[in-house]
Amino acid sequence: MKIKSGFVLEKVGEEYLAVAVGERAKEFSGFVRLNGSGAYFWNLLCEGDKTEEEIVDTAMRDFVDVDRALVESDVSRFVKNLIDGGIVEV
Amino acid sequence: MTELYELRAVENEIRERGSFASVTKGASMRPLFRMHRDMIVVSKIERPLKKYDIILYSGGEGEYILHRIVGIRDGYFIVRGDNNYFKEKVTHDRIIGVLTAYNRKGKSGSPDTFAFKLYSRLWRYIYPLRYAFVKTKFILSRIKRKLF
Repeated sequence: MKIKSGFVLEKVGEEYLAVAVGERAKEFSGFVRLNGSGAYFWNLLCEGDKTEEEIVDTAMRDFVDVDRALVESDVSRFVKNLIDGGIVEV
Repeated sequence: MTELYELRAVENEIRERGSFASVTKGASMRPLFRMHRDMIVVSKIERPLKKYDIILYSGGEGEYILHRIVGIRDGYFIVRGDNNYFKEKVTHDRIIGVLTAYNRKGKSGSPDTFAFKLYSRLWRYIYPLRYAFVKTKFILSRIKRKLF
């Protein structure tokens, strides 16, 4: 799965905001508000088609002292929110 | 009702979270922004507003508008879209936020850069020329319609 084309992410203070532009703006109104972790996962999903497991593996490599079970549940919840919001194509 | 909800949601986001983002809508801020192409970030106002600031304000019919301050008066602002040829009076109570960042044609931007400030001033400076050009075009098109 990956983020659908047409989304733009901007850093605003400590947060990251994303909107749909171009053709995508016709089907997705509103905006997404992410913290640092969310933006990290968002960028991974923008890089290409990934499974949840691949995202978790990458996070485990990039961060130290993180609990895999916690990362798995964070990723799972995050991905579910994006799918429900019509932002991710599976 | 949908539009009223939208305005409340925008105001709540800015009041409670400090910021709001949207894809650009309408044509009133061309050539700076083009409908559906760009992204605007509007934040809570934390310093006195100045001439050339781009503000988000309530349009009075459940909608919100993003236009530029072109004059400051006692108790209200004079605003105009970069692509508009009419002014509007906006009192402080209608203002929801100020543009603090944007993404234009895929590139991040800020209204605090020298280039942006230069564009804002130049664009305002040539307003009389732009107005004359648009008015002439309008008159010519009316003449053309009457003749043919």
